[in-house]
Amino acid sequence: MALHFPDMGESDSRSALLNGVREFAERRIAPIASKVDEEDRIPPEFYTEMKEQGLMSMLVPEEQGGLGLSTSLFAEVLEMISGYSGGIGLSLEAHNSLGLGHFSKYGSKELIKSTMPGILESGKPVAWALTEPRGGSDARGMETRATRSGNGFMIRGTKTFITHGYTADYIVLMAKTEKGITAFLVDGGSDGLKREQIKGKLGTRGPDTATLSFDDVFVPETNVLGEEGHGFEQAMELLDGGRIAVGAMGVGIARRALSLSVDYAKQREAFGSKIAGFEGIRFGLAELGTSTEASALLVKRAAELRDAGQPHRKMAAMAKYLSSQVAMEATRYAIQVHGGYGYFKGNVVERMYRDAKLLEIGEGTNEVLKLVISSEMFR
Amino acid sequence: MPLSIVVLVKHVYDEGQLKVDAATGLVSLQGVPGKVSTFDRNALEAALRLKQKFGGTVTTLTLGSEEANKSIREALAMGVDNAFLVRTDDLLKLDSRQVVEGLAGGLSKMPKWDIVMCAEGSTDVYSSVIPAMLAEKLDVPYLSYLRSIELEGQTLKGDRSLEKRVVTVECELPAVVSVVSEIYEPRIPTLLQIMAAMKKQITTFDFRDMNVEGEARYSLEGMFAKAVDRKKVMFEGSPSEVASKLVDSMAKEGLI
Repeated sequence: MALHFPDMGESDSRSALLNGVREFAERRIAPIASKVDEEDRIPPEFYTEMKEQGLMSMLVPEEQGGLGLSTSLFAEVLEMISGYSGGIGLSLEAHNSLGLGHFSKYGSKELIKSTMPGILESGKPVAWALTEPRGGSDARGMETRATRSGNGFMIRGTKTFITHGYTADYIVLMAKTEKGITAFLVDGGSDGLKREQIKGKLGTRGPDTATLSFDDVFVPETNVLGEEGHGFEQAMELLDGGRIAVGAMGVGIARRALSLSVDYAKQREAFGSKIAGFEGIRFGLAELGTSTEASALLVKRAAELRDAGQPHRKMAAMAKYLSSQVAMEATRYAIQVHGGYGYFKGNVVERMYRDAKLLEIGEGTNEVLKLVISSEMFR
Repeated sequence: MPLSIVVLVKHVYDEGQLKVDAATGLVSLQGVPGKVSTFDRNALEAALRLKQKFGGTVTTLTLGSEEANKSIREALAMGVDNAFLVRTDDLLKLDSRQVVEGLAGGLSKMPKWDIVMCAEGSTDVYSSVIPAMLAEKLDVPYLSYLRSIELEGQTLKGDRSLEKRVVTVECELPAVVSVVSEIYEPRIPTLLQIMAAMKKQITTFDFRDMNVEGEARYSLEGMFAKAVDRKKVMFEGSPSEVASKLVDSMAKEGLI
């Protein structure tokens, strides 16, 4: 099915789609968001529901059985959802932009044909394993090795902080062969793969996190993604997209935090009048509203460049760098506006404050992003 | 027997976004976005469930401007098979008789139908007279305000809630039916359905070809917001504290 819209203008189709996502977020995500956070668990049946909704195959091209959304539209969908649940937003972000995104973009035709339908049908997220215990930011220094063995490779090493790592049926793994860093699609049922769940995340709770140990895990040659030795470039290319998506999550969290604050300020009274009338409240909202829209424009610009096939590494890094900080500031201020009520568990802004923190760390810490941005500036 | 159900869908102003001039109380429609009349989605859900059970088709009929295509596409995304628009840019200038004649004109150009399904009212005007007038015009029975629907052969049955009772009503098809919003929660279309709905055909007729004679016998002169004085008192504390504060306050006001 061709998913362009010959009958309607681009903006009509976009708004129809986003209205659908908003309705799903309000009716299906908002009621469970607090439980997802509290239990640090997204129920399997909710993944099935998200699959049926189309949310588990957003970036997969139509010919592979996905929705084939543009980066721009995908970012807007994530923005909308992350405002309601950072945990569910993160799960969709990591699965669509990294795990499934990597496989879909670099898997061979044969591997896509044999494996993609099952992945899409299962509705289960695909994990993406780059970070290691000794270093997340220093990806080139990874220690996981893939050694040639028969018609494939034997993998040894450890990956950690892997989102969906505990439950994923498939893991996209970066490991070093003699030709350099290489990406593999690893079957979650492989012998020698051990998973240990990591509990206790501060925010974006919901998707599981795990440490994965590979003790001579065999992966057939056919499961190499793209060319051997090109895994690092692939990962960086995927992260460029991922950073736009994380940037969009930040915009969504900031926008909703501010909108909840406006609603609260309109009804909360102090000193005999609504606090919405106080400049002390209004000016902060004005400042953060401005920063939020500025970061939204950066995310939009980076997404448009990616969609147009233009260089966008710097813009994507800038988008995440700015929007993650704005999300932190906006949620911090939202708690301030809510006062004591905002400080307690069960209040949405308290959760959003914790959710926002991840955005300054995941998919490149903001320090790494500053390296990326400056190295692009000095090229 | 496969059913042919027509659902009336209206594109209305989003009542949540109406702007009221504080000084004059005048309601301005300038720049207010449109949306599908909320209750129509419950009627669509009822029709789609009948289709799921008995087979057949669900078609929508809308009277409105080209802008109404947005609401029609929402209905198509929910699983509607065909859609018809009787186009007029002057919907607000039509009286109920003209609306009904326009809709009846549209129905006469559409494939044969068994049920015309309506919501209990539209979320803008909420006159709730259209289904009854349409049934009269079409000379078919009308079951109003149903909260449940069943079909046995050619007999349509349903329950209607009255204040302290529930009455069960029935009639033979073809018929016009109106349903209350409680009947079913509308389904959420998937992203794929929304995308596919963008490409579906909407058949358009011109209202001027519907042979609606005569002038409107009443007209909309303007809209005013009714000022309602509410105290809007917020109580804070634990549920039991809030409950006793509420009771105390109501007692103080002489309400209990």
